[in-house]
Amino acid sequence: MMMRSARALAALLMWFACMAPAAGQVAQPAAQTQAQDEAVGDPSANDVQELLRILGDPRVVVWLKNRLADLPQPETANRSLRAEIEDRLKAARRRIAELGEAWSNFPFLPDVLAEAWRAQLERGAALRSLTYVIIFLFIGGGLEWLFWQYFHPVLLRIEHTPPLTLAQRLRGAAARLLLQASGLLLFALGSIGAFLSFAWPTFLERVVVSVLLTVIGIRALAMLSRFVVAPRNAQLRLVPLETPMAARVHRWHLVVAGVYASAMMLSDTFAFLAQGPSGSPQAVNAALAVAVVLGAIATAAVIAMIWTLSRGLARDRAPQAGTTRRFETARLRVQPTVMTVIVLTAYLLWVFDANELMWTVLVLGMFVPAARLMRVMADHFVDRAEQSAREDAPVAQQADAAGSDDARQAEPADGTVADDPSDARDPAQAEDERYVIYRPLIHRIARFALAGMALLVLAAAWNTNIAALSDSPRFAGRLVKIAIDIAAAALIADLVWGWAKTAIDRRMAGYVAPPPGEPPGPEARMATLLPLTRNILLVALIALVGLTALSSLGVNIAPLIAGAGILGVAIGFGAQSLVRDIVSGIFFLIDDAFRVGEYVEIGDLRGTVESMSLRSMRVRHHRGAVHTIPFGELKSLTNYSRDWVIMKLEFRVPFDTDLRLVKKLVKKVGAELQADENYGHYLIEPLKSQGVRRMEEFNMVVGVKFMAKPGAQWVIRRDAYQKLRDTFEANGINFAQRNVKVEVLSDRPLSKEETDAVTGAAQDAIDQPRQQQPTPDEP
Amino acid sequence: MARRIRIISGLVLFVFVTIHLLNVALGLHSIALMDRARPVLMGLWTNPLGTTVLASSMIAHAVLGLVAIYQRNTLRLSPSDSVQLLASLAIVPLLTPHVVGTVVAARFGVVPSFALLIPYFWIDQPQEGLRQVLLLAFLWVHGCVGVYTWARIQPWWPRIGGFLYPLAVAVPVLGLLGFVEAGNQAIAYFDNPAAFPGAVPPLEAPVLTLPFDEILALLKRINWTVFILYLILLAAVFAARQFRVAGSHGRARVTLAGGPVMTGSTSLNLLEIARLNHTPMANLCRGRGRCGTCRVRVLATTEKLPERTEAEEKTLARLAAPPDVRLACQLKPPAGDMTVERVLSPFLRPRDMHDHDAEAADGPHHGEPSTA
Repeated sequence: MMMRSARALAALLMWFACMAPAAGQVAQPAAQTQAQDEAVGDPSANDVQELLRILGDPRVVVWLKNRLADLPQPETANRSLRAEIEDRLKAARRRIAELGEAWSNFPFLPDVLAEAWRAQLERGAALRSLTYVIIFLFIGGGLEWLFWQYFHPVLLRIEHTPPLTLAQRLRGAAARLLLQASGLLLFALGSIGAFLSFAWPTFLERVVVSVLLTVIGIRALAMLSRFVVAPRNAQLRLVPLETPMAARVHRWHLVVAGVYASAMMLSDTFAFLAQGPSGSPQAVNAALAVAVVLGAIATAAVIAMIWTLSRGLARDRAPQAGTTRRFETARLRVQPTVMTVIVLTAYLLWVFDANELMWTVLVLGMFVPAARLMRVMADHFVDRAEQSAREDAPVAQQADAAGSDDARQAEPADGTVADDPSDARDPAQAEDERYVIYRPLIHRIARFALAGMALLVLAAAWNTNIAALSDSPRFAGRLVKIAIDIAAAALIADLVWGWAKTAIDRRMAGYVAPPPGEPPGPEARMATLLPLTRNILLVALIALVGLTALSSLGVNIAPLIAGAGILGVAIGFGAQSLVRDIVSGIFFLIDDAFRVGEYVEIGDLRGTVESMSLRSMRVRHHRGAVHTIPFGELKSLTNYSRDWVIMKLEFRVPFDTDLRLVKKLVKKVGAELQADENYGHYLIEPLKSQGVRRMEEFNMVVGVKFMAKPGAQWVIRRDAYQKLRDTFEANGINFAQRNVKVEVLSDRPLSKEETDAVTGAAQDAIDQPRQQQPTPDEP
Repeated sequence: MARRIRIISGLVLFVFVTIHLLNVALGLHSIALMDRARPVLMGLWTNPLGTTVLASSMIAHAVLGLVAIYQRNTLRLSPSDSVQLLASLAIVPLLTPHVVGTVVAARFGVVPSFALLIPYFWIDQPQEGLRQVLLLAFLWVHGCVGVYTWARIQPWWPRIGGFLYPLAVAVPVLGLLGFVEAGNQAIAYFDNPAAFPGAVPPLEAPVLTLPFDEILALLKRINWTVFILYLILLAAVFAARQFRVAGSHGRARVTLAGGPVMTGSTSLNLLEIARLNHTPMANLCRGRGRCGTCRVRVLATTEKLPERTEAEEKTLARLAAPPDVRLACQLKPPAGDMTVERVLSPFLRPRDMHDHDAEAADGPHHGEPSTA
């Protein structure tokens, strides 16, 4: 007994082992099995019974099944393209024959179906199943109602709180969707779950569950439509539609979802009915005919929706045809035709049972409209975010209240707000900028997500599991894996680059070079740093993507990285001072020690910063000489162009001058200077007298000073002196002149020589006080 | 008075339905248990006193319902009101066969029991089973809306209301599941009586006063008579209402302070005008003049306003409201202009109603909505 069973098992094992190798060797095992068959001969009746007994053992069955699952599927793996095409053509021909038969049987359709239906559902079971459907819908509805009893206030709060920021808007939409999805889930659980907790006859179960599923499916689609279109609540709408149009779109969605789900349910039920025990070829044909007709109805509904809605959109947009709207009229005219053709083609392909082709056509055809829709949604989303950022200001509040249910209405309000030159705008503008940076990022992510989804759908339609394919050791599998790796790396790099580039370009565009003669603002530093950052980032990203691509191609990049590391160390030692220059340059820039256009003093070098490179700065002396100073050499740096300078002037007047008059005159000149249109606005504090600063032997020194913006002090000083002189002269005040009184103690006239000697001696006395040096920092 | 009778009779009926459903829910165990529990649970109603109370409640509630339809100023109702009205309209035709088939048939010796009726509903006459389910759905929804409208303005509601919601779902769900399970047991039993012994208890041979077919024909006749009478009565009530409303042609213009301008026919009260103009206004008792949450302050008016109704006077007196405050659900604005302001926030919750501090703080501009 044992021996025999063991032998039978061994024979079985052998058989499976022979089947196991890949199909390349199909011929060989066939020959082997044949040879074995001949050698062993026919089994006895006992053996067969024994084998059956063993096969009846569940453990053996499970083991064999597991074994079978481990085997590769030779048929699907190695079908030639030709065989594939032939099969498909054959299938299509068969389908056409079926369709023809179904068409010829069309008049008998109701009878056939009614008969099959009666065979399955006797004794009023149809009515009973309706009862079941109502009962379980009621249960699901009750559960959902219970859920809403507790969560409806939350939903109300979400819907009636106008969102102020992007984050709030996102949170609101997500929370609303989550709440509604939870309600629907409870409904599904309550209806289908309660139904399935009883035991039912198969057909009844199928019918009731598919009706319940249809209801749930329609509700889910309606929920999705409500999430996107939000027909009642403009605040939460994701597409730029106005309320009446949104309501229409939502209604059409409901109609199409209802027609589509019911058609699916009906054709599925009939197909099940026809293929069940009571089915007949006539019933199968009839089910096919019903499915084709229902499909035609659903397709017609979709096409009707496309045309009605696009006409409505065109009408809505027509008045703004001149302005740049997101939907252009020409496109609106062509697009429905294209979409109709796509839908019709898909339907015909489905009728001929070419499901892969149908999905391909649908995915490829709908990709462009879907991408555009995503783009419009992203734009709308960002627009609304910007709008709400602006609406933070109290000015916009009333405009908001007036136009809150209409995106278009809010736009003029938006325009007036933008013109408003109030200071409160600044944070809002910063917010704005952030959203502008996000916009291309969102576009990219949306596009890539859409493309990924389309690929997945296509792969599913063609019955290719991408994950399994990339794991398979064959060449195509590796190619797929490499392509996925590289695409992922490129995608991430592209996202980072897109974001960084937008951010940097935006900052750069905001920078306006100062007009000549004016000190540069703080943006000048960014103008220096940002292009540098951008280039570094670009190089780093390219290097990273390149390395990833190489590594996924199978190139071992470890030596490359190690080599680069060694090279880096070597260069680092060799170029120590270069590195020091670069690093200290970055830190000087971060410290904001100087900017392009500023007048600085470094050690004994002085001049205007003309340009900065990675390693050094270039300073032009006011007499034209250009100094190039590596950043590493900078110990300390004096900046003469920051914030303000104080200029002190002094002049000498005779002792008998009326100081009050001087003060008054200085004040008058100060007012004149401040009123000057060329440089008046550079004066921070006007010219004012500081009184007598000191007494000298022959005169008083009167000091005046003013505070001005850096760079403007020279012009102001020139005019100040000039005006002071003119004013003093007009008011009878003379500047003191150095005069030496020579007292001649004799009363006789001096001879020529004596006069010369006296003059010479007096000259010495005049020359004695040293000339004051001109201010050193004057350019 | 009518209000009081309506709610009391409604509560009686609601309690009856609840107990009946609990009895049906026992079908989750077995049909036999349903029948065993029947005298205990339904005994309250089968004695003469209980039957009288039940019957008078039913009649009173139906009559008051027809009166309420007559008194409706508009048929464009709020969602919950339309649900309640439609459900109540459907109840009579659905309920008649049930009552006739149990109460009236009993007079001819057909003793109603679950062992008799469950197979009848599920196997013999599946459309009757469907009718029971529809009846339950409509009845329960109507009852829940009514009881909820009454209960949520009671002082105890904020404390225990949250615990009553699950009951409102559990009772009909259990009843329906019991009905389904009992039906399944009956179907299985009659398919193969040997496999499920005792699933359907044997019936005592009924002592019929008439042949069974005649009884059925009689019951059917009664059903149809009631149905046709009901339709006639309903048509008469709607026609009378139409006649009553058709008398008024004026248009009232009501400006809400700081809000929209609403217009409506003079046959409408202020609350209905507000609803038809999509302007939210708190009305926790749904326009029955009980809660006073819809009260408005009349700021200006060109015409003389009608006097306060009795219900309005009572409610406003309870709230100690000043003379310029009126109930929107009772005040019919005359043709002309008037300006009012909401005293309470339109999004008032029941738990805020008895909280008088919140009332004072809740200005009319508290939650200005963007859309209705």
